[in-house]
Amino acid sequence: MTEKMEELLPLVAELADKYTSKESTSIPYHTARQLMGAVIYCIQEYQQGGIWTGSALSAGNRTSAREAYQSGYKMVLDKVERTRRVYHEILPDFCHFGNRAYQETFEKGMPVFFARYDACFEPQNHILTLDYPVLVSLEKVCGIDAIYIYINSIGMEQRFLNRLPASYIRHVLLTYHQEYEELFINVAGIVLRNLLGCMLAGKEVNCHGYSQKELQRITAVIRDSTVKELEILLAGQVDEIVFKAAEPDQKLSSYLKQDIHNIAFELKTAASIRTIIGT
Amino acid sequence: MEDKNWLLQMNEVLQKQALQKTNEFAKQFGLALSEGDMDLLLKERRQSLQEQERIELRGGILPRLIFEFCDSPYIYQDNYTETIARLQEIFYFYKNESLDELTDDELIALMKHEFEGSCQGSLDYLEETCMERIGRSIRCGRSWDMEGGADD
Repeated sequence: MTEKMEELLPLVAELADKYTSKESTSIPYHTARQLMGAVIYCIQEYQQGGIWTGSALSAGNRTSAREAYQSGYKMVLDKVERTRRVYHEILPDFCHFGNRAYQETFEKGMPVFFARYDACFEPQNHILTLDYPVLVSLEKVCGIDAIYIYINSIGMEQRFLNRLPASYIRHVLLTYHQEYEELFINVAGIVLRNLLGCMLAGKEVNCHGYSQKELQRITAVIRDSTVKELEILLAGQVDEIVFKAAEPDQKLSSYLKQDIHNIAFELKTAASIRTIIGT
Repeated sequence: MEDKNWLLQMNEVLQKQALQKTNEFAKQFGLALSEGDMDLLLKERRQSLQEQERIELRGGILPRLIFEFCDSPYIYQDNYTETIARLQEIFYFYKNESLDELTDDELIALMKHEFEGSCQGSLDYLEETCMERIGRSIRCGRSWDMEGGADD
């Protein structure tokens, strides 16, 4: 953001006119803040778009705030449409495996988002609380950017989960917690942990749990490695899992690897307090 | 900081020009604002906007208040500036109290109607009783009819 206040204020004033239908000369601070946020969001959208596409902005041309805002606004609208398309592609095969947060966020929440998202006056507000946690952090994004990442993340998870037998996934989730349906957990992350555990134990992926010998094997691997070494080992195994479960998919691998650090840390901690339990 | 001052100064210059124009219209009712009065009204405007946490990005409400109220029999040269300043304060306060549900024109029309009607020119009665009643009705989701009061 290099725009100065005197460039932004006329844009906010125009937006305020539109917001009040020119029937009010003043607006409350919170509305002004919201409209300023809308202008800045669209300009940032344009700037990010410029970086990705190598357009005028990254070539060093100085674009006026008005042009940046107008182009950014069109980009936001375009992104909403793209996100809606991706959502409708995922929806027919979407399976929530009984997890309520997963179902309600995706099946009930998203249609409300598309119906109520205000790209003009509040594009920075993505309305939903996104209760089902995905593996990527959404802390630094908001508005349609957050929803776009969120829906794409769920798309990748579904691609991964749909390649595995539903009965196996339900078994893993049930073993993780008897009331997994009510928990705010990432289904793909739980299943991935189980798959990685099977690989570390050198056993087949099935619903029969781990033998004592297999558990000892896992514990030995963990004890002999640092967290960093475990992360490298697990990352290689994620690639292998993705290769086997789905076709080679760099994006899916990268997505699942977002959880690697947590998994390595959990395993290391569990081994140090001797609580590795086979499921 | 300089940028902000520049914007503020520009805005005030425009506001003052708009107030000067109202003198041409108000003089037919024997009313006029001096330079000092205009400065005072603009100072009060800044203060009211700050107190009510509102922002005016374009134009202002003062000229519209003057055009609407200058023909009132309860306003004369001696209380002109003071009354307009108070009306401005009431306007911003009830703009918030009505949750911005009323447009500027609707709010000004209601204020004028009450000021000349049941208030008989009393600004205290306007602020504390009449507008309070209207604000409460609007917050309860009822529309307000100038003749019949609140509609359920």
